[in-house]
Amino acid sequence: MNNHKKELNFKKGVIAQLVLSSIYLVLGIVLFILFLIKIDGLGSDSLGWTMSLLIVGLIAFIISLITFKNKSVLRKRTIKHYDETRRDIQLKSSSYSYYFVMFFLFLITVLIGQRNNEFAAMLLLVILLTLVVNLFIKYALTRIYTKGGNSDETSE
Amino acid sequence: MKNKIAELRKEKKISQTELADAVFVTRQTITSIEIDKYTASLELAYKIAKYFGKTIEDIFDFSELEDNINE
Repeated sequence: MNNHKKELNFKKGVIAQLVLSSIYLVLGIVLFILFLIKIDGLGSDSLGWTMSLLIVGLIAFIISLITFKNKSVLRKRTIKHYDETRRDIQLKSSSYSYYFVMFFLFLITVLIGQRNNEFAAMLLLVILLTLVVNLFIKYALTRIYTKGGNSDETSE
Repeated sequence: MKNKIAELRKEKKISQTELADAVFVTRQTITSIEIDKYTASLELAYKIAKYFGKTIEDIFDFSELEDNINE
């Protein structure tokens, strides 16, 4: 993929972020107005939801707007997004965190097993299923990567 | 993989940031390649070689790999 294509792809992502954050923002504003005019049925924790929607929406909107408008920021973020070492680090960190999550789930299963055996068995099944799915994904990806090539080519 | 990027950069009097910007990667990636912590992809190696007007073999040292190839 050339640099221009990379920038275009990243720009599409930023536009999606802009749309999503504006939805958050609009929802937050609507809820805030409803809260101000004290409409019934919003619930006791509506202010918390409203504020979190407003804050998250506003921060995300500002960041994506700056990225979208400023060419140098867009280029810098695109470079960072497609950077080789960053991708490498992300791959490694996600595989390490996968094992951490597995260990954590196993620990929870053991702890729950002391109180509720059925629930623990269910959790253990989830862990096993996740492991099997992970192996299947690896197998499927290997198949996709090697599809179309001959497994053994000999030359005369 | 050992390489001559730092040498060539000094010859051309350009910074890591300038080179990184030209080949569309971060400065950290150039640092990692220079100190042999990361092996550049074929695409990046080609871009770096093209930037310096040299071939990939001129910049990257493949001698370690050659020992591993049994003919």
